[in-house]
Amino acid sequence: MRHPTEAQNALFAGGDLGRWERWRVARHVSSCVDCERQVQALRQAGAQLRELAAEMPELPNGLSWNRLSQEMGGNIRVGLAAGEAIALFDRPAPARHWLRWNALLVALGATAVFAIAFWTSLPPQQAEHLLASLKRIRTERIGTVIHSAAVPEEAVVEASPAGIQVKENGRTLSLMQPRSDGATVSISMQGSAGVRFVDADTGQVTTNKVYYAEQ
Amino acid sequence: MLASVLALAPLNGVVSAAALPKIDFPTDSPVDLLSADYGESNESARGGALLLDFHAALSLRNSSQRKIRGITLLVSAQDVTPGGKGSVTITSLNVGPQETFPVRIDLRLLRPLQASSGVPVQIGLDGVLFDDLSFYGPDKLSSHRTMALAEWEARRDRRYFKSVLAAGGPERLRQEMLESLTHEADRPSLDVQVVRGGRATNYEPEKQVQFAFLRLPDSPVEPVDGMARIAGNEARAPRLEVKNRSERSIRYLEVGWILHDQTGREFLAGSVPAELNLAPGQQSRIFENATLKFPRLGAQPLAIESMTGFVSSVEFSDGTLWIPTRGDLGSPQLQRVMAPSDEEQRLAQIYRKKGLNALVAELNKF
Repeated sequence: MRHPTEAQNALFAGGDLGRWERWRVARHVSSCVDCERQVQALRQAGAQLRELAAEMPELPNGLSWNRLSQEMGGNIRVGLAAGEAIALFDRPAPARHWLRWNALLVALGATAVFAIAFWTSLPPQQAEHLLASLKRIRTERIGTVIHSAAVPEEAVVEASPAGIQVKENGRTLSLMQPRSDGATVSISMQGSAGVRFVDADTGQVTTNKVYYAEQ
Repeated sequence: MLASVLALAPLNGVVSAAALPKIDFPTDSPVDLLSADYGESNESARGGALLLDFHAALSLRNSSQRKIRGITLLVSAQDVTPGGKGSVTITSLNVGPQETFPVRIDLRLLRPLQASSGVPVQIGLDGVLFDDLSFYGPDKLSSHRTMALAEWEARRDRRYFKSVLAAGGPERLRQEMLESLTHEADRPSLDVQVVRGGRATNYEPEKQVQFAFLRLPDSPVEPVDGMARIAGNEARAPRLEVKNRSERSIRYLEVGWILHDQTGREFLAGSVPAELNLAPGQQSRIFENATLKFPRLGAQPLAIESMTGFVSSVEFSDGTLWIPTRGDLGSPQLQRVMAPSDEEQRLAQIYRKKGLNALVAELNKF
């Protein structure tokens, strides 16, 4: 089998390869003594660099050089990807539709294959970052281009000892807490909020909850 | 029996009868609706919006042959919040056949003035839990599990307080109740928002923080690893890795999430639930793409510093449950942040309002 390039080994040693590429290089390194040695050496060098970085002056507000470096790398990738995405919308439409249907289908298929390959090759953190940026572009940029009035506001589930509510597009459904003794707020990350209390009149333990589930 | 009721009681004249909630129980429901009183309901305009305040006092009757331990009513307002729903659950009930019990619903809707004027609210039955832990209902909100967990906690706590009474007499029980009331009063109150997806704000630097874990000795699930992203007063995207260390398959679990702020305060922020299929010895990852935002804790702004997780409940594939023991809950960290159970709160309120004899009598009913 062909050896990975030194650059690929370096990215592998730093954990910066995409899923598919990482799997491929790991498979090779596990059976190749030379490459394994090279990866070990690169990892040692990386560790030494991190030690040196630790001796650098501290940044304010809990920032770290590692984090800054990761963010800069992520931002460059996202910037490139976002630029390509935006360019698609700014490009003037072709004057003539010269593609036949079958050619169009081939092009769509190739685009889908490219998109899947690109997505799977991205390290998880960068993929998440890119997704968030594209979402922002969709609402901030494309939303104004096509003058869509139907960009929904984010649904929010909210809890306080006074009551709980689910807000959606400026409308609200609240369950209020009547006169009661003590209230315990609970929140579930799946999108629900609850308030539990002992009703002062009935003595019953009541739990009011609101949920948000996308339609 | 179908119980579809509109406007059974006199109103203050503000909310029209057509705008009142529609209550609809299944024909074979084990509870009947006897009456619904909307006495103090009203509506008012707020700028371009309409504010509807419903105060419903329902009277229900147990028409089954078994004792009812809990009930969940589903509240929806399709025209107002299509994706949002509410529920009202009453646990720690002890309602025998043909006995009646009240349910109170205090609901507020805010919608545009020009919105449709049809029935804005529907109230239905999501489930009824009986004393043999059997269940009736569509269970759209997983109320079976919620009420069964509350019932297990209630049984655990009644057993505990009965043993206290047997071993130390009424005075020891009084001591326990006083401690419970003090504990309840000392817990910090908390406002919190949960938003599906990414960060609600992005002007604070975000950091990835590792979970510390509180390992409960009898827990069938061991938390192995976990992290979440934290920025100022927001915590989001928790990722957890858990291992089933029991000999039975697990289909649901919840991990409690304790947050610590920069001034050393700590509080129970929420829970990370997971539906899964975890065979004995198997590990699994849990991920929730949601953000918790805490506007403030008391008067001071909150800055999250670190966090602790612990397994708070487990449901096995055979439907049986695991909850922490009273001993587990006595650990100092949990003691500081966890609220007393539903049943402990109910018993403490009986003691506070009616005295020790009433409490002892209540314990003896079970």
